[in-house]
Amino acid sequence: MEKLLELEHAQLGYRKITVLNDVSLSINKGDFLGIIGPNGTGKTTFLKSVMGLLKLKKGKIIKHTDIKFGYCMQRDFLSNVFPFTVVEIVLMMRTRYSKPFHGYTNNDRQAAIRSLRYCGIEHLANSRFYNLSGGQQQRVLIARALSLEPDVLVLDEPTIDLDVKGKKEILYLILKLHREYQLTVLLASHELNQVINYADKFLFFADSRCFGIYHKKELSSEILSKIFGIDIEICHFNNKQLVIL
Amino acid sequence: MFNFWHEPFLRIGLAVGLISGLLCSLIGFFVILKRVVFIGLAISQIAGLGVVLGLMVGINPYISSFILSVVISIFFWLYNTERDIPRDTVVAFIYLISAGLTTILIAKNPRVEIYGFNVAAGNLLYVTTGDLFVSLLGSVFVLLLFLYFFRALVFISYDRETALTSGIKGAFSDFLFYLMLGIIVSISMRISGLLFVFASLIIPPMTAFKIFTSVNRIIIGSLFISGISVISGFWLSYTFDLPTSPLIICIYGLFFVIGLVINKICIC
Repeated sequence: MEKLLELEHAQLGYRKITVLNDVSLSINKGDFLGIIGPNGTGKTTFLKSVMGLLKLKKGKIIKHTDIKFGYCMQRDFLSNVFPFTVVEIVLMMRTRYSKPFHGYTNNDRQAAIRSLRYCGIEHLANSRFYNLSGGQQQRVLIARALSLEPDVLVLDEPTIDLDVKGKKEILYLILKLHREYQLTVLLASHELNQVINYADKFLFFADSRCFGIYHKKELSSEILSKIFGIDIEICHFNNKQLVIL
Repeated sequence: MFNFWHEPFLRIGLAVGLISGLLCSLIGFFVILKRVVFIGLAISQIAGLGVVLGLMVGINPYISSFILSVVISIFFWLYNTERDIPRDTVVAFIYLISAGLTTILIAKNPRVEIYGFNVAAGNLLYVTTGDLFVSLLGSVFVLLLFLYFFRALVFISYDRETALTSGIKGAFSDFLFYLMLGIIVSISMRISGLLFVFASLIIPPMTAFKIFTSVNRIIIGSLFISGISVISGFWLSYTFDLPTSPLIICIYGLFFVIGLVINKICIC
């Protein structure tokens, strides 16, 4: 497996606050990594540090290649006041490539429409973002990340506040992108049960600690119970895994 | 009815008022998008202090106002939102201190006492061709910056973190925004007054938000509201012998009420 990036004894946090200590791991090209942990345990801090939005407090990050990150932030943080259309939101990601004093090029528009089509929302291109449902908004954010043609798709709680159907559709879309484009995916979620049948590998955070990366096959009731400090059972049903609390 | 158009000083006043109103409304879109409304107020107050200081020590008030506005704008740009004292609190502190200092300087110095009312309310009827020249120069510079970095500013103002991951230089874009804000406020404060500048930053874009539902329409609508308000304010001020800037602000308010009604009836 080709290594994309490595963290060596990294200390992650903001200013005086240390969120995670001594994180050492490597992420390979083509990984689908589920980053799991309760709220406030450092999932977003980890993602931001990996993308370079936050500087490491200690340790180092080694990027083996020039990585383009397609970031889908938590959609709750976006203002719903501004009347941007879906295509305007997606085109924002092409700003870096657009020429000053000129409109977006045809290439930019095509990339935006292609991404929307892939996410199944081309018909919503001219709709107002704030009029869409949570699931549709999440698809727009994924389309926006895709329009950058990223090496790594980074998603922060993409299924939060979605109904069961919405959660499944979004996770299925991400899995499809991972499989068809061999896209490396980093997905942060506090719901292990939702992600367990989609990701290949899991990185666990709990109590300000990083418990390292586990392959899906390595997951066991003992390991999860030890990490989260409560009784957790993993059952197998129709080739799928169920997490029972 | 339009006798005022024949008076040269009124024509210059109208031109400068229009430039100030339009520039403030243009940058006002980003002031609202970035949620830094009170930074606009604090910079306006600091610019007022700059005008008073300039008059007091005998240097060109444009220069003193420009220096103070840009310095404080850069301070706000550098001030990290994650510091111990929240930025909102620091903004309020700077506003209050500069307002207090301005009042003391006006009260205790006969050279600037006469200017006291103008700091708050402005005096658009006593502008000179020099003021017009400075306004034009500043507005061309700001307009070029605005058009050059428009998309990057929209992205960074709407969704900063994603913009940064896409390769937009966030610190530079923020710097440009605060620089433009500082320049616009310092140009406008000298002649238009605190109330006019702050109102022009906020009310026309806010009204346009109520009426229009696309970014381009909001910006154009905001400019239109600002332009119409300034022109009609000038005419009414001349006709009924009323203070110009406060009258324009009242017209902004009227437009906002109309905007609310339109918003209730139909969305354009």
